[in-house]
Amino acid sequence: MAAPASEYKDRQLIAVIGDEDSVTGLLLAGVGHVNPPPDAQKNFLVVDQKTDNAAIEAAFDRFTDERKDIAILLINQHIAERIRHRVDSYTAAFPSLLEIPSKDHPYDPEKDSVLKRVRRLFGE
Amino acid sequence: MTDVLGPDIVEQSSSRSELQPQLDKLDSLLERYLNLIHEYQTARQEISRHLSSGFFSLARANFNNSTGTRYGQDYYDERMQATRRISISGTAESPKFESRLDSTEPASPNDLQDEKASENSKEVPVDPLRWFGILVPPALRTAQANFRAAVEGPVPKLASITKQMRALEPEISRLRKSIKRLRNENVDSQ
Repeated sequence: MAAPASEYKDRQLIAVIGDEDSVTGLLLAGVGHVNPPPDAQKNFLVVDQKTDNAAIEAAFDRFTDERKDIAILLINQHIAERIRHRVDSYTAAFPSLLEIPSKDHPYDPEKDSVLKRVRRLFGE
Repeated sequence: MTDVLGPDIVEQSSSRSELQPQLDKLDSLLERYLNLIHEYQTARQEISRHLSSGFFSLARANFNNSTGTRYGQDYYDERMQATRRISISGTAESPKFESRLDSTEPASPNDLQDEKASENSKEVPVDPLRWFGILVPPALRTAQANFRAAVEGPVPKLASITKQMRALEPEISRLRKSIKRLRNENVDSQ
């Protein structure tokens, strides 16, 4: 049951939903990408206090559903908390979703959707 | 009479003999799964370490920034092109994520310089450090190195491990159900 490579061969980018420092750091690493104009879509969203949850959800949908060029979506865990129902119910094969710590919010295994599934499997 | 009992006995013994291989299979799946959890946690520690060093270096760069501005989104290049990318190989059930440098980025400067210059110089991606000026503080370079280390190592590793875990989870659940059913059949038939 070999999967068609076409399903993921165009998925090459790492997208980010994070606070400014997280996005700045990851863009410094070279993951940032802006599509050519007029589309000019970015593969990142900088979230601050003024960003509402609808905007975060819209970016989440864009990166996980609409765009077919994202391989991995990184999201700060404290931002994932704001759209937790979406993150926990995300089951698509691609892109792969990873919660990452931010400067002010260290990684909390209790909140991680991957480890939540582990706990469920072991009946906790 | 024997006609009625016959199939019953066969079924009873077959469900017993079916049970052991399934239990063995479950054991081996759980062992694989536990190993993956261990790998996941190790890669988690690795990414946390790189990122916290990165945040610390970025804070230090900002603290020492005499212009009073922050190294942040005001300076992002609106035409940026990704140089760190991911390639996915393997099957959709168990894909392998790997970090790679985009081919348009010169691997070693003297290697491609001449060709690139004659081709199309606009195609060569700019080092994101340049967004923040010609002379950036060493702390910002350190931050870049920390974030690169996170993106190159633990990020694709975590993505691959997560996929393998996801693939095993329904298998384990299915097998557990089937074992439960076989056990119930055995109890019923006793």
